[in-house]
Amino acid sequence: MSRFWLLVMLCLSGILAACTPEKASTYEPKYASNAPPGQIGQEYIFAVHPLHNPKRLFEVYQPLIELINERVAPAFHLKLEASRDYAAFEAKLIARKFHIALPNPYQTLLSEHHGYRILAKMGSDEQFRGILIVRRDANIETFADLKGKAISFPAATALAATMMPRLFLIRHGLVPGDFEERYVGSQESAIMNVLYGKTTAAGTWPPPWEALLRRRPELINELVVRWETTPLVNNGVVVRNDLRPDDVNAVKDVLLTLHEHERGRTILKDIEIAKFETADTSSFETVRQFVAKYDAAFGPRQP
Amino acid sequence: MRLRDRLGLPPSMGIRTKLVLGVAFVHLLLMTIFVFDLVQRQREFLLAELSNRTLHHAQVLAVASSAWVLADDLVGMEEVLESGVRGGGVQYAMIVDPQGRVLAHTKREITGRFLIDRESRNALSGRQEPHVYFETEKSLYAAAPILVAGRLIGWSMLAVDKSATSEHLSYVTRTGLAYTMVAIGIGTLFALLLSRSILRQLRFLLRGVDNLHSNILDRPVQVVAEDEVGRVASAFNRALASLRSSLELLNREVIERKRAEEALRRLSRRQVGAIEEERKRIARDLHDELGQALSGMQFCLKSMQGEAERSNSSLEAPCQKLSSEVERMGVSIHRIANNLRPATLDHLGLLPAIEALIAEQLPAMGGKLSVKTDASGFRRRLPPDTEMIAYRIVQEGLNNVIKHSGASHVHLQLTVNHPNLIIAIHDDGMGIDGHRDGTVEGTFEHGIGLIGMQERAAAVGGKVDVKSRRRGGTTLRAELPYAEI
Repeated sequence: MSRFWLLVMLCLSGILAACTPEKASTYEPKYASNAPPGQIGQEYIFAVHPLHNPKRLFEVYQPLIELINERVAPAFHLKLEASRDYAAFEAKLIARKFHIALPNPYQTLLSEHHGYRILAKMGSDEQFRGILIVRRDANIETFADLKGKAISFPAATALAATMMPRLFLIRHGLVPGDFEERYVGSQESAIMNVLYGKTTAAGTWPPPWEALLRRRPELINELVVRWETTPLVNNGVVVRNDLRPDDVNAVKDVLLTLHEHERGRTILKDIEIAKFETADTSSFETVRQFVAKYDAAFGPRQP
Repeated sequence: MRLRDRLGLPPSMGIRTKLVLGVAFVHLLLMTIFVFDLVQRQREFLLAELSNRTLHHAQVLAVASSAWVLADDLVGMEEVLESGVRGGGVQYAMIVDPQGRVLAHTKREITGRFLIDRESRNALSGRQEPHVYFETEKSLYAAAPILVAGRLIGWSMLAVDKSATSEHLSYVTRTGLAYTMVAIGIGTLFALLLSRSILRQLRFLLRGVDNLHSNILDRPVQVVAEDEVGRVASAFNRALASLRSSLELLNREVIERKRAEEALRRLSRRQVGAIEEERKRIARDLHDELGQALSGMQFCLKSMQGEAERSNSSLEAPCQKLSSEVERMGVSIHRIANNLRPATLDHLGLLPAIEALIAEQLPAMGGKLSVKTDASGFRRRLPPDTEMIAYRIVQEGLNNVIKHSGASHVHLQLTVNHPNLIIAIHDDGMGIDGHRDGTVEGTFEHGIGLIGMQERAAAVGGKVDVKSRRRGGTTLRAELPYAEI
């Protein structure tokens, strides 16, 4: 074959080479049932009930988890876990998925029936109250104005945001059925429903409301807290009863001394409490009484 | 080495083939470069676009799944993955925690297992931003960190099929090849048309060259173009016309010269003939008149001597002496007459005359020269003029050998090669150059003898050539046409 045709073939092969893939290897990820050596030590799940949406919850509570992990390492470490909604949280709580949990007072009582014991509680009980938010332009001035209206709540078992406002409304002249309850999954979602006019009022409690205002201060021009309930005992800290006592005490020590150092105070500020306090089942007696009155007013709650 | 040789093209390839191949090759080369560049750019663009889309996809998955990762909500993560793998050629997607545990996977059986391969582990320990961590011929593998409040809580990882990109590249390549072929085809067609236009004039020109080669000068090249080739054709026509004119002039001169030569030859022949006739007449007069007178005088002197002898007169001795002188004069006159016109030539022919000539001249050399005559088969009579000129050439040639060559052997050869008589005289003497050493005045080639021989031969349209080597003898060769005489 002459050199000319070789040159022609070279040109054609040049074109074909342009579409020739450069990479010829194949790849498929490999999996194993066990973690690679040294990857994971003893891990406890630290769950917080849906005080906020999961991301906000992580922002607020992950610093606390990191501090505890620093203090207890290398014996174990905590992993923060949020929940989609109250129902999901309670389902996992009942299933004993969490090693340590920060449920609301009602769930605190619930956990005792599923192998948890009360280790501590949040301080600043005066903040643990329910609030009812309405639009400024909604002309909701009296409780009677809520008759026939829809009120958004995070979840049926949200003590401060749902149960306390509902019982508050009953005590102020309304009866079950005067208003429509809409459970929208989270504190912020309940507020957003009011903002966008989907509901007339929203039941929530101060920390998520104040956090939302910090992010969107303009909302104060549109929304207003019309009523607030009397306070109750703040959220509890419960531990599963099969945890090693040393590990439990280590976590408890960190929590109860948070207010004693700057880093801890910064964390507490984000959580919007002054400190964590020692607590036991007796600390939540007023909650038991409230639940009884609530059940009397609304009948047996759906799980 | 020439380009043609470098390319291995055959030497006999025509201009049209070269032009077509050249244009086709240029198109092929340019289109190759163009298609190569196009495909490369397309490849880079498509891969970059696919990479960006994949990274965006991974990032969307990461953002969408962050809440579910925080909540360890496997159902939520699976919902995110299921919605995330729709379209975009996603082969699989998964959400893993920072330790490599698969929290959710589009293949549910993999959930809960740990990534252990090197590429995946490197991706998990790499920079916390969306990145392509591996690429194969068929797939692109990307990972995006799931970050909340600046903290890593997991990774979304997915594999995207590149076949659509590869198919598009193949399509682009095929299209490029098709365009290349079309370009080559169009280029070749144009080259054919162009070559036809250019070569038409060249074909006429080549035909003119062929005519010139065949000495056909009266057919000028048809000029069909006004370009450079057309100008060459016009110049060729002008040169052809000039050549034709010169050739006609030359032919006329040649004809005239031939006529002049013929006239000269005729004149020379007449002159030679006149000379020979005059010799013949003189010889006859010598023989007939003077010879008869001498014979009469001889007879008278013999009678006077007889009377004186009988009368015992004192006149016997003078009469005897006078009679001897007259006899000697008769012999001389006979010899002179024979030299002027040998009677043997007229009566017996050329060969006997030459043999008589040799027999007459050899004794004068005292036996120092031997002559070998080779005339086998030569027995015919030739025209008298030819025989006479041949005789004179042989006579002059032998005379030259005897006088100047110092040869001991002479070889004389007579051959009839119709229509020529060929005479060859070869001697073993010193050659003509030997005389240039200065022993003999007048060189052989410039001597009157050779000139005379040439003039005689020319008179009948023949020629005489002499070849000589120093100390190697001399060969005289004469060709005399006889048929035309």
